[in-house]
Formats: sequence, structure tokens, C-alpha cells
Amino acid sequence: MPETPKAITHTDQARSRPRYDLVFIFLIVFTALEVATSYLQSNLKVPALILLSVIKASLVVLYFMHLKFDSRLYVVLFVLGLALIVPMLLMMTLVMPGL
Amino acid sequence: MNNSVQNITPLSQHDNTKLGMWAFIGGEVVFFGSLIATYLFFRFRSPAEFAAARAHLSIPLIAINTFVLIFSSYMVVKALEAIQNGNPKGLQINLAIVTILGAVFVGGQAYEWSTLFGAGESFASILGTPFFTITGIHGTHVLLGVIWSLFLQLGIWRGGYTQKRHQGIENFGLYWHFVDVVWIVLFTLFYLI
Repeated sequence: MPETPKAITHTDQARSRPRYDLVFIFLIVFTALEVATSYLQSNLKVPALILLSVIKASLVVLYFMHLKFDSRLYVVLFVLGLALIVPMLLMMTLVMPGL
Repeated sequence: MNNSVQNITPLSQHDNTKLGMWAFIGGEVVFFGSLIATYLFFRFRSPAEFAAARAHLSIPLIAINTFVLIFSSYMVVKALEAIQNGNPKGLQINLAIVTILGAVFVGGQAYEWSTLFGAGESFASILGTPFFTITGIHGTHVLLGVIWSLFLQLGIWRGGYTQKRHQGIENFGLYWHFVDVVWIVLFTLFYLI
């Protein structure tokens, strides 16, 4: 008889539960860094702010939303949404000259 | 053929409500992505006007509001953790903190809007059109989350959530965290860059 696929259970999730306290501290530290960076006058300011923002958003999605430990199907649904924005931005730059 | 094997499909391994929430979040990514793209369009087309109008924005006030929302996200995971450990009281208290923090965030945003209107910004101004639209839609999401958390409190009071049955709390958490992620992006784009 074929083996029954194992469902994702809350027990599995609990076993792989991340250290929320640490994630929270990182989020606060990165937010403070962002605010401090925003007052700097440097060419690196914008790339640094974008990088910090991406790191913070990734921490929330991967750990607080458990995407790192959850089913790949949810990852696909989320990434599909992100991927759909790319052609939209490309079309925008094509139809709006000077952008 | 054995029925238990016949009925197994890739989707049947997932909770329907959670799958639905992720599908909703996928749609919300596109929705907010479109709004942010529109904001960038406005900003790149009129950089000088934007720079002048952005002087009205208060970074310290919104930095506090950002901290409030991040803290609320942390309390949501603590609420979920509490019920996963069989502690409904912990769930109730942590969720109540989330409700209060959500309300504080919306209040902070209302205060910011009134300050901006006082400084001459409007829904028709170059900054106001994208700013009020996007932060307004985001704030509405937070407000809906606050109302949702109150309904969850009702469910907790009726004993609807247990260590083994708490999918509703997890789904709420996914929604709340996503709203937090959107704010992380908006905070950088609107206020810091």
C-alpha cells in the first residue's frame, strides 16, 4: 500500500519555532539604523535604506509569518505576487517616457 | 482502491483557511505593489515638488508609530505561541495588547494627517494624492485588523481556541504581519528616502 503523505502539523511548526525575541530585537535595531541613516548625506544612503528595508521585511515574512518553515505552496503564492509587480513596473517605464 | 489514499491531493494536506489567507496575501502583494509603483511614478515625475512637500513629514513621529506596529507584530507571535502552549489567558492578554497597539498606530496616523492638512497638504496636492491614498488604504487594513482582533477576543471568551485548534489565530497573524511588512516598505519609501 502506498505510504500516506505526512501533513504539516502544528507540532512540526512548534518544533521549528524561531526565536521571536531575537527577530524582534533585530527589527528594532534595524529600524533605528534606518532612521539614523536617513539623516546622512551620502551616495550610499538610498541603497543602504533599501537594503535595511528588505532585510526587515524578509525577517517578518520568514520568521513571524513562518514562511521559512512552512509549505512551499505558500512561498509560491507569495513570490508569485511579487513576480507580477516586475512586468507592471517594466510596462510603466515603457509607456511613460522620462520616468 | 483505498479511499484514504484516493482522497489525498497536494492541496488536501493544507488547511483551507490558511491556504485562502496566503492566496489573499498574494493578491494584496500585487495590490500594494501597484500602489507603490504609482507613488514612484508621481515622485520621479516631480522630484522638486516632492522634496518640498516631504518637509512636512515628521520622521520622529512615524518612527514611533513604526515601532508600535513592529511591537504589535511581535505580540501576535507571542499570542500564537501562548495558545500553542495551551495558555488561552496568555493568548487573550497578548491579543489585547495587539488591539491597543493597532489602535495607537491608527491614532498616530490620524494625528499625522491632521498635521499635514494643517500644513496645507490636501488630497489633490502632488504629495497628498499618492500619500493619503496609500497610507489611508494601509491604515484601513490596520483598522480592520483591530476589529478582527476584537472578534477573536469574543472567540477566546467563548472558549473557541485551544492548543489543538487555533488556526483562526494563525490566519489573523498572517494578515497582521503582512500589514506590518507593507508598512516597513512604506516607511522607507515615504519618509526616509
